[in-house]
Amino acid sequence: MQWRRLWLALLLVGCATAASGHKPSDSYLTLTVPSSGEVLQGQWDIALRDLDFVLGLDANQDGAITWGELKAARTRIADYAFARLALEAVGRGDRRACIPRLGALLVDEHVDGHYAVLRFSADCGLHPVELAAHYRLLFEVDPTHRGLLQVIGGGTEQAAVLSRDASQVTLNVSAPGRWQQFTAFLSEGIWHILKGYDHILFLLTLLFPAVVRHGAAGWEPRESLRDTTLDVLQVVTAFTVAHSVTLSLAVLGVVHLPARWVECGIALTVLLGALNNLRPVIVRRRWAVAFAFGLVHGFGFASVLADLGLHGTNLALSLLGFNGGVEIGQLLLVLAVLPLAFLARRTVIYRHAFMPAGSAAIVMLAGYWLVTRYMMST
Amino acid sequence: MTVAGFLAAAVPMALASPYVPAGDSTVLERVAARSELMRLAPLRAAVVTAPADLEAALSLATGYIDLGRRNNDPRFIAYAQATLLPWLARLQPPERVLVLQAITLQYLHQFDAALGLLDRALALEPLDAQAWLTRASLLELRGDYAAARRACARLVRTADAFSALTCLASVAGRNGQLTPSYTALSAPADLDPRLPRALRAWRLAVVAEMAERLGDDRAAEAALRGALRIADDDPYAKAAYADLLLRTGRPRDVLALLAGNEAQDPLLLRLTIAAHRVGSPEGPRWMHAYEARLRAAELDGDSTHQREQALYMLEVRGDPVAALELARRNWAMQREPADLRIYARAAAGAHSAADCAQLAHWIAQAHYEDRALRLTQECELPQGSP
Repeated sequence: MQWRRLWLALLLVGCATAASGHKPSDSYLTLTVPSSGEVLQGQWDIALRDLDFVLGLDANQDGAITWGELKAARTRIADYAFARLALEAVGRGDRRACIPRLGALLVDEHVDGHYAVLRFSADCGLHPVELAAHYRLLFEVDPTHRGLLQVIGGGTEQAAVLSRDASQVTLNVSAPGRWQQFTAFLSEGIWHILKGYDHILFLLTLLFPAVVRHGAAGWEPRESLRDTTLDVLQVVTAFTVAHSVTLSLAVLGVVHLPARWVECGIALTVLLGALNNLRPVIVRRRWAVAFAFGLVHGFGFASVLADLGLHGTNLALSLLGFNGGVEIGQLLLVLAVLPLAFLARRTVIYRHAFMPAGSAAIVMLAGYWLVTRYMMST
Repeated sequence: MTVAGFLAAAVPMALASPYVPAGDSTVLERVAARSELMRLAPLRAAVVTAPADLEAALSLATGYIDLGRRNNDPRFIAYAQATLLPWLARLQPPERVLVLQAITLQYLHQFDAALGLLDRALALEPLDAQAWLTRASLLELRGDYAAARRACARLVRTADAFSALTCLASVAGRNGQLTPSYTALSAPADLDPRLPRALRAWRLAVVAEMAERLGDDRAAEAALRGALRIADDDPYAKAAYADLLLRTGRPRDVLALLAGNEAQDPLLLRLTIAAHRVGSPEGPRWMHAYEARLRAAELDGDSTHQREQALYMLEVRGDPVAALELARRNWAMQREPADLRIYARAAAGAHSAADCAQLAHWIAQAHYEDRALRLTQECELPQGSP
């Protein structure tokens, strides 16, 4: 007895460090809630190895699960799985169970092997405002199993991880109002400008010289606030028009550029903008520069918007909200920087120390971005 | 990261869109452990029909743990846990149930919880050799050598001399007495073929680790080959052998050793590193597969593979900074020679004097010796003289 019991422990001596070599068991459950109507559409991916363990799919026990064996087990799979998933729709002060009905049985490949794909519809008898899910698949044999739930509806995608200890979830699936949607994208736009160093730095390279003019003796202070304001207005408007154009074109799918080129391009615009402050080449039509470079930044905004996910949302509204947010963020930056720069414009420090040193610092940072972004893309 | 970001990461997990396979005979999945699972079927049935039968539950859980170990598959560990669950729910779980559950937790890297269960088990049955050995290996893994030695010492009375000696020498070898411990274990005459295979394989793995740390790569290789002859499918010995081959500049031998083992993540990683070094055409495909599994683990909130991830970052992606972050977090959890080596290499690669100093301090106070660490001169770690 002693030998036998030790034998097990010994086998496990090294294993704490060799550790689990496979992914643990997960299933993927996707539910789509219609914007109106009472029937949910579902897709449930369950690992064949899991189904085999509980249902014995490998009928001839030859160690290989074939499509024929899987098809033959169709009813048993549906009975087993749907007995372990309770969906309830809540709405109009009522609560009803959604009755699932299996549609197509398909197959898909995930990183850890093949999965049975159960397409189904579930009739709830009322249009859900909230959807409650109680998930119990496989818990009786595998306490570490998890269900990765994804619910598409109400203009968003929501995700939840269901486990033995947290097997229930209730999600709000009512469509948000248009105003809510608009403001959500508006604030994303504002945040993107204020968090995105590259856009801020680019704007700074345009704002630094707005309070001065380049003359024979280098940078000289502008006399009136009117001149300065006009210059800033031109530059910011040009930048705005340009990035709005490319943002719209990219989001509508008219033009598509690889994200890596765009990232490198943005770094390049920052680099060139700062270089122009160090060794001015273009001093008169700075708005043209802002316009040309703004085209590049627009593509950058588009990829952010794409990452936010536009599933089922009103595209025009989201675009408008996000772009509006970007303008507000820009305006905040201008309002924060311009008065200070204007007040400081006559000082020697601003013109002969701050402008060159600040621009040089931006050149270096942008150069670093350019190199790293380029290297990452190759 | 928003929900949208989470989903963006989740979507590529399915490699293609769902489809209808070509024909009924199309093979979708191979069940590696089919025959072993069939052998366990009667026990499974017994557990269902007689839920009060403790022996059946223990045998079934043991069978699952063994399958999980040999197939490197946490699913079987989870099946073992499910088998033990009704017994653990009792007010006073049986002592052997606690020990088996501790072993499953050890496998899932829940070391504190595992030690807690072992303490409870040993309070009930102070003569359980398996509990002492599991406890010793956990403490050794965490670098708590004094406590590990005390646990090994209990084997002198509860188990046999061979096991007690291997346990004690393994701990002492990491704790200032590498040469005498190696001498004590490496006499081949000890390896009586009548001893259980698992015991012999364990002894050889310990000997190999010591030989490697003494700088005798030939002896280490011979011991690992011996371990693989005894247990040819042991994924732990295979990974250790692959690491030795990679360290000594023999990536092509790794490709031969691990051919056909792509399904197991640690072995896939070593294949990827070897392919990366020799520029093998398989390299990009394996790298792609390994990255997909890393993303899946990340999505699962699974942090049990930090050492492996650090190795990947350092060897394949050439990113010592990312490797160092992972290796440092791994080092906080476990302190095996392999954990130390990856930490030192990453610290040297990232030129982190602070990490090097921390390692040097640990090595000095543990009296740890490892000549394989000489590769990382930039880190200037102290060397024990063998």
